[in-house]
Amino acid sequence: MTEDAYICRCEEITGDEIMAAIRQGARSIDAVKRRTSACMGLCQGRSCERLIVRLISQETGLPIPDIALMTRRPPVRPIPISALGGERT
Amino acid sequence: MEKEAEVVIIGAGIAGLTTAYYLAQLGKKDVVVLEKREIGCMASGTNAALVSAVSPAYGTGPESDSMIKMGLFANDEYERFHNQWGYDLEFERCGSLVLTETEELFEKRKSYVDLRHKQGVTSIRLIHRDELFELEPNLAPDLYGAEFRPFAGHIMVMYFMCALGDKLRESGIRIYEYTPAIAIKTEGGRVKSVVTPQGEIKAKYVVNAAGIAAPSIGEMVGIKIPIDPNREQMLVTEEMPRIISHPLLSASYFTDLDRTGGVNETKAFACNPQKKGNILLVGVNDFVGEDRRISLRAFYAVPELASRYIPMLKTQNVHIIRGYANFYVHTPDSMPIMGKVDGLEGFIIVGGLCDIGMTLGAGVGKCIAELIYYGESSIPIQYFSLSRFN
Ligand SMILES: Cc1cc2nc3c(=O)[nH]c(=O)nc-3n(C[C@H](O)[C@H](O)[C@H](O)COP(=O)(O)OP(=O)(O)OC[C@H]3O[C@@H](n4cnc5c(N)ncnc54)[C@H](O)[C@@H]3O)c2cc1C
Ligand code: FES
Repeated sequence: MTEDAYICRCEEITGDEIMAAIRQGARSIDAVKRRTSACMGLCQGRSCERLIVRLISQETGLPIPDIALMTRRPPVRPIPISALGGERT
Repeated sequence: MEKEAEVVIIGAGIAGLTTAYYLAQLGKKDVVVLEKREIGCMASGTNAALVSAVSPAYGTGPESDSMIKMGLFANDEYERFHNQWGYDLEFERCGSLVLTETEELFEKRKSYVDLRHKQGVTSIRLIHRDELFELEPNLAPDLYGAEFRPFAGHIMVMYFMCALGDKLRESGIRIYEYTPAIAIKTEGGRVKSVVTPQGEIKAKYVVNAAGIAAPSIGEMVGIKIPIDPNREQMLVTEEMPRIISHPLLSASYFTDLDRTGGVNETKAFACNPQKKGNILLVGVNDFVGEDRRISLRAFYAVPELASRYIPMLKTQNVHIIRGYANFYVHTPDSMPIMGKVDGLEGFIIVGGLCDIGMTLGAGVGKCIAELIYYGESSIPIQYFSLSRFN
């Protein structure tokens, strides 16, 4: 994997940026997210989360199951506001 | 882990970390911060990121003078951190608007603005619709006016909390994550040590900065702290070209909100446009214990409320990409709890920051650090003592 490639495509965060966050101490998906905003884009981490877990594991030697996965946050897919409400009441 | 530190701070949110920061600035570096999970994992890393400096929530009593001082100090500091730390904290003094829906609400805010002028906050002013729509052309056309607050700003709170942690560690302060305080030992009316699963640390001062968990820390030493979790639910839009450029609050946020804790649910609109183009939408808060799930109701109520003020959210079919909830650190009178505690030497509380913890933020930490270092703080904080509830 080249390190200047986007790991999180939605937020345009590169491998270098993820690695920098891990070297600054991030040991969980949430901690990487807090430093880089990876996983906060349109797909909410569905594409990048696994890749980031692998990078944390590679860099720190922590087994993959020990790396806390991100808090799952609804909605599962983006929802248009008009489908949710937005009517004047 | 060390066996002894002069100050042990429990909780790595904005209250705990800014206290540590100003202790270090004063030269006191024998400080340990204990964090149950990770830096900024609770309210301080997941809030609406509005740093109002002078929040409309400050109220009108003599304590509001102190809160104004803390808030103005905080924004000056955030600007300095942003410019000097080498991190892009996305701090911007963009100004905020309190939208008055009707003429009646507009008139009601006049006495509030007059009071702030008397308190020295002279730049706050009421604006009529022409000026409002010049500032924000995409607002609902029926809005009557607004209160413009040029000193208000916003900051990327996740980046800020991480940067603050890094700066503290650079200055020699030790922060232990995944290290909860599980007991506090006392002796002869003063604190003696803090127990964690990783060991026990003797301390001269123990600072309870545990957010909504502050009551459980109080219980460890038999002190009752009236703090309740008040769930606030937020939705985040997709990134898009800016349709609004200021954080917005509805005037009804401050008039409808029963701040005495008597209500179970309030709907009060606030939003904050982010640098990347997302808008944070805040809307529904309720008392449901420590349930961090977002309710289905919020998924309907928040967009409904938001598009009443920003119709384009609906007409442009903007998408919601995320919803989440965290807790305001609610107190019975919506004021912070800060200071020493009668009857237990060395025990200090800094919490109850309600919905204005980031706004008061650095000001709160400065006051507590001064209290520890000099025995009193340069900004009067006696209004916020725990004893007011007795
Ligand atoms: C959705 C939402 C939106 C908000 N929007 C704004 C806003 O726009 N502007 C604003 O000014 N304020 C806002 N607030 C309020 C603000 O976020 C809070 O007032 C502030 O973050 C509280 O900070 P704190 O340090 O007291 O608590 P917290 O940030 O909750 O920190 C307490 C820390 O203590 C830790 N802890 C708990 N128990 C223990 C233990 N036993 N041992 C060790 N550590 C422990 C926790 O893990 C946590 O990290 C908002 C809050 C919410 C929830
Ligand atoms: S790829 Fe990271 S949020 Fe979509």
